[in-house]
Amino acid sequence: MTRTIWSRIALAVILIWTLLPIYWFLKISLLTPDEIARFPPPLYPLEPQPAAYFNIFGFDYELSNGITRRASGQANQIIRGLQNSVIVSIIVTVLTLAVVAPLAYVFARLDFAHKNKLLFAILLAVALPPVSTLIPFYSMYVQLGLNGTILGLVIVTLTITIPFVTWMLIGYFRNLPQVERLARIDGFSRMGTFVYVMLPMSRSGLAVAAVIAFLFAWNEYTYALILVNGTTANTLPTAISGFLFQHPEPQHMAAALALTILPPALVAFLLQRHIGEMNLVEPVR
Amino acid sequence: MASIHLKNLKKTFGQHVAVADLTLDVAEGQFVVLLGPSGCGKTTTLNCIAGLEAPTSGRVLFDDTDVTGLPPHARNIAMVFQSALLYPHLNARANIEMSLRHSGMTADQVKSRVAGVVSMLRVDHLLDKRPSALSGGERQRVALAKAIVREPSVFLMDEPFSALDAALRNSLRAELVHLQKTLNVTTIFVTHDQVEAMTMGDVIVVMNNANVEQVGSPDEIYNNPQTKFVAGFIGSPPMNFFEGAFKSENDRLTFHTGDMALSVPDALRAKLDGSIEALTSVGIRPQHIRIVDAGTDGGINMEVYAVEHLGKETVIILQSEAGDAYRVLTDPGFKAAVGERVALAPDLAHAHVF
Repeated sequence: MTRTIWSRIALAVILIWTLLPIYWFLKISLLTPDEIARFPPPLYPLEPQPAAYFNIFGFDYELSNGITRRASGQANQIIRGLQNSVIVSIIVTVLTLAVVAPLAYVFARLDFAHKNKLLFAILLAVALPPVSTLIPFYSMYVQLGLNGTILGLVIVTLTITIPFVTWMLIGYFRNLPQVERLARIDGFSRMGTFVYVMLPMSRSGLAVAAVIAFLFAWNEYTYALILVNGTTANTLPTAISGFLFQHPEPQHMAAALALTILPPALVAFLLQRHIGEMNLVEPVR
Repeated sequence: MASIHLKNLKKTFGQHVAVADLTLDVAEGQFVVLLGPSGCGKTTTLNCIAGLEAPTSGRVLFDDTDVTGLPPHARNIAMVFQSALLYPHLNARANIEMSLRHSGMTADQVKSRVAGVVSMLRVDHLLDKRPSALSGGERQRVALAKAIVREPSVFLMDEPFSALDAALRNSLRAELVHLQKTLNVTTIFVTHDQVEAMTMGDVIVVMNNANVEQVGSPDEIYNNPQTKFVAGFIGSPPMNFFEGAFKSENDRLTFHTGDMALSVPDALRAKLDGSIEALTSVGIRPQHIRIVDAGTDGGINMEVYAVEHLGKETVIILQSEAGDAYRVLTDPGFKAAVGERVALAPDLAHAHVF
């Protein structure tokens, strides 16, 4: 009994810890500037109004009392950042899955020469902090003309997502039952086994891998800050962090933040069934 | 239906010899059990027959066709794996249909084939369930259906019942034998469970350490074991062994074990043709030993170590002074207390010598 009480208290603490900051800026995004300036700050929006969400996309919004809230000056940066973030994240997710699914499968289920050394080489890439490769990447990108391009950002993000997701999926593939022998008896070739048996069988593992890759790409900040910030290839996180120097209105800032957490939240929500299913000890039951 | 012939089959993994030199002929429609302890090479042999492993040397023939180089699917075999392996992401129907996916049959043909097998194995109500929603026995039936639907010429089974409880094993055993006899498909069944082997096999192949120890019907294997390993491996409780030497004096043959001399009856003597010097152990099954009072003439003194009540009989486990364990089958009414000193009187007329 006491145990359930304590676990509930712990759960409550964790929930407040995670949700309170999110609630706070979502609240701010629905306030008017004079409400934000008030002290003590209101704990909830007294008259929630979506003006900020129109403003950050470059639209004026007329409040019920006739006052017009003007479009945000950063609207262009936000729209472009959103576009770039969506493009980069989707391309990275697709490419990551296309590379990682066969790669992780081969490492998890087949034997070949120098397997452990090659695996270690892949994992080494996960161990490197991004900052350590930043300057080499930057000087290389300048020479190749890749800085300030979406292509450059996609390539550099893949260097993070591929090793990490491979490492994650190897564990998943290892724990799948030994259906390869069954597939061989049924007449599948090696490739056929992978395409027609293993891939459909590991749907939940691949879905989780996709979420991880998407979130990595969406949240990627370090490389974007150096390689694309201030160019037309700028992404949403770096665009928003840039506002700090442009004195934006707080409710616009909050609305832009809400925009950045929306897609990951949606993806995680839609795939939560698979995340729950992805039990690493016994992946498919 | 096909007969299977293994010619000098050999399989090594690096330095490790899994199957040494196996030659075996399996007649059409026979149920052959490969029996042996784990690591004896029985599963490797099965995999070579299936085509999942390529033998290092030797040949595999189905009837007169050399299939050594053929992939599994081209051999027209069906295999049931340990704990009834199925595709976990497909329901039972899709699992069964997978067997026919590369058969070139039309959808209608597949449908009627599946329907026939499904009603034969009474799995109709399970078709829409995934393997995880099936019980052990149901999975086993679906796995059998998946195997049978191909109408293979050979069935290969790799310890399919090993993960099931005893009661289920019993009923599936009978069902499988019945099915095999009805379909008359040559079957090779791998197990380490001697009860399974004895109850199901037409022929048992006892393997140990990559070699075949003996091939024979269950009766032959039990009543006439050719090697000490077979004698000790088959039978429950296991056979008792007495180590010692035969001595022939004045036309009287005796077996000396410890400080005892047991006189050899004519029934055993008749079996001992030729040299007796090479023979060092006598094996006697638990039912051919009596327990008598300590100090009785011709008895070997021992202490009662444990008593196991099996209902229709009781197993008394005795310990010799040297610490060896001996098992004796007695009537259920037999009273013995742990630690009691008794003597053991083997009936050498039923002995096996090695």
